[in-house]
Amino acid sequence: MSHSMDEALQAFITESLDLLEKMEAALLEIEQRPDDAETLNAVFRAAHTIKGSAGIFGLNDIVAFTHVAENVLDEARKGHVRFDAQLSSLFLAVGDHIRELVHLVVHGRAQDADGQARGDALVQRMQAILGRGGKPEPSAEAVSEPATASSDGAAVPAGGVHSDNWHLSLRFGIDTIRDGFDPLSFVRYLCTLGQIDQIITVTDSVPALSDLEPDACHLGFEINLRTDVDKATIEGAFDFIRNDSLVRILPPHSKVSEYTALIAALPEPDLRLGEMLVRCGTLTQAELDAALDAQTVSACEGKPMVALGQLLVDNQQVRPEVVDAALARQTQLREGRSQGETHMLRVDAAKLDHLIDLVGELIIAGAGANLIARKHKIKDLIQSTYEVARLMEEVRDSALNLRMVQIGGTFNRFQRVVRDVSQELGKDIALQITGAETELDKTVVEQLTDPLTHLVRNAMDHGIESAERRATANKPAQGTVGLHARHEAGQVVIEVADDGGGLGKARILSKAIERGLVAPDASLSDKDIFNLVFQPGFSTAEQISKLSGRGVGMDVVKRSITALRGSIDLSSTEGVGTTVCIRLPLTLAIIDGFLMGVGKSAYVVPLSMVVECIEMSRQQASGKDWLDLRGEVLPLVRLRELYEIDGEPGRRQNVVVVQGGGKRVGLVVDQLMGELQTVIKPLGKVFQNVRGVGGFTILGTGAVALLLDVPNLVAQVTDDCEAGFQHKRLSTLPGPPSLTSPRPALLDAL
Amino acid sequence: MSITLTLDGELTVFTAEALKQRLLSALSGDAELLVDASAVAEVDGAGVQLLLAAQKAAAELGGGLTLQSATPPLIEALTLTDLLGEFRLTAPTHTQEHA
Repeated sequence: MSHSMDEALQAFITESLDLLEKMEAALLEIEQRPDDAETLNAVFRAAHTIKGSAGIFGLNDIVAFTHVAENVLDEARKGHVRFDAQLSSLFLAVGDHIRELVHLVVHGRAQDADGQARGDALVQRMQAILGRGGKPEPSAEAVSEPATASSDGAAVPAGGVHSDNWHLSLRFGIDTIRDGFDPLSFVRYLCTLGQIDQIITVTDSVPALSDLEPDACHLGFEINLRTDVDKATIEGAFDFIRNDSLVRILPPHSKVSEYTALIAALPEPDLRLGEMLVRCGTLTQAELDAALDAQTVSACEGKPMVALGQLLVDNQQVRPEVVDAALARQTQLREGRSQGETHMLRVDAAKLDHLIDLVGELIIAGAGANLIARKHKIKDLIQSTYEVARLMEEVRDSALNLRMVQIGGTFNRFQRVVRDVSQELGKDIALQITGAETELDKTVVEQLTDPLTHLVRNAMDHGIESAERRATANKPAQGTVGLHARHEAGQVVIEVADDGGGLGKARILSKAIERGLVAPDASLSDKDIFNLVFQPGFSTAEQISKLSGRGVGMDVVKRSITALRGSIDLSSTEGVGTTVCIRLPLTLAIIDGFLMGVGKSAYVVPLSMVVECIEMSRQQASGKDWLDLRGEVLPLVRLRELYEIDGEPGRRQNVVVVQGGGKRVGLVVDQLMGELQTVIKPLGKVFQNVRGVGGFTILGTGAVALLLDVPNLVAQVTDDCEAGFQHKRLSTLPGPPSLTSPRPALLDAL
Repeated sequence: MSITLTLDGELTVFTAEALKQRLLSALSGDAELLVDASAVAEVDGAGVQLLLAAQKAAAELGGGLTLQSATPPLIEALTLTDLLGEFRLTAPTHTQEHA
């Protein structure tokens, strides 16, 4: 019970945070377009759903606070209050406070005095707006929910309906009679529990005689029951029919919103149900109006209820049939009203990881089977292992796809960051987003938020100049910070760009020398200079501001990106702007690999990074560290030397041209062993710092192959090479490298 | 003009199928269907549902359904479900004379 309760609560928390995010996005939109009805509705819906769900868990703080917010939003929706930038500013704070309350739930803590005071202040501000907006009908009941202020929550819980009786909605399953139950007997039993003040037999689905199967049950009841027994006792009456029937039991003084949900869950038309509820004496006409008003709103709230509903069933909070019926109803609604809406399913990330793990094992096992089939030269078996391999490839792709999320969600959070920070800084800055639909692994996305926040703040604080300076530089008054994402060669590239002043190379260099990060006489390339900002303890801010400039940050950013097996680079043009470019692997689990052999060792590189393979003689390969590849210098890395493998290189060598971090190098190996699916296993702690190795994988034979960390390798080599090359040019000034040996044969262009 | 159909002692799921056939054949045109319920000794939900369906069918044909001489068990069932008001009820002797 408590476990499933936790799960349900977890769902509430996740959904609330989701909704708050949507609310925030909508609020930011309203700032641009005040009084936009659609957006306002989105804000209202978010608040409304959070309040409703919080009610289920008895989170009174959230309910009470959100209730006031909802009232203001409702007034705005009705046009009594103008929803302008000022109000949306207030509601951003309101959203923050709700988020704070939700976080308190996460940590199981109560609100401290500070938070309480903040909340009270917000409530006061909102109530001031309500007072100013002038409600035409302070006559309590008719308002969407009786105002908390007037009832003080003492006798009747806030938002509860007036009736002192229970309300039962029963829709018997079609087989109830066939299963040996008499619908009337349930009513008779209820009479023994208390007094039925009013009952309505719902005959809407009883067909005309010719269509009636006499032993099918089409009956339903709406019952207003006066009783002192508890919910469990009433529910007990329906134990045997619960699986097929719809049974809904609302205690006295249930919230209007619960009736709204009831109406939504029952099969009859809303108005007809409303009429019955009023006839039952369960709702007053005013309460019904409120419930139906909310109904029109909640009709589009399919998704959150679905997920929550499933968990609530486990939790025994709601009977499965109720949820089933509600689900069917919602599905109908959704299909009827918005065909295009996607059906979402929340899945525990651990389950997904387990699946991916298994798929990984499966792929290894499959490779083993193929190997055996080939060893024994069984033609049919080889054929079928290929077919299995093809299918496994598809399974792997879809399994990995499950983990992929669009980065847009993360990007959009920065709308708020940019808005708040630009207000703080007194700069006019717009956020430009491209490639929001770019997908990458959820774990990666999650761990990107902090580094990105830092980079965006940095760009705004240090990058974008003040308005005056922009004016003198002939730039538009509004600065732009860009968040761009795209796929590139099996990697995701994320850029944080600004159109600010750019980095002053001289300033960075002098600072670095001052801090002892580089020797005064060191000659550094532009790239090296820019990348100094990622050194621990480096900050160029002339003035330490609240936001950034404390000298921590960029190195932390770099560390978190490296931890994700990514790389980070900075480029900048003085006066034009700065771009920080982050490259990340698409996923962390399984890749298509390319297997290469050196001596007896095997190495794997991600296939997506392989550009082409070239065969060359040992003679060609030895002696120089670069290759003329169609007029371009290609630095060579001899894996045999790099990993100190014994033995002489074979008569013919192969060069595998790989690309990483926008640069290419050639890996010199003995053998090309072809493609394979690689399940990346992380290296043990002892080997974690081995350079250029990103992990390992187990081959079908059971042998281990090291996975080369290409971008890292490329970076190392190109850095060495650039330095060496520059040096060479300075000292010997040779002509452009020319082909002195026969052109290498192009083996395989992948 | 009206047609009379006399119900047996049981108006339950066990007799419902047979009763349905009898009711179907009795229903014709816009004639008022008189259901003599004077012998009904037992009623359950299926029976009530059957009466409701018959009434719907009669209404569709432009006629109506009247329960004649309803016995206490039938009255109790219709009271329990608050359906008493849904049916036209008549006293026993009066209609029998005109049948």
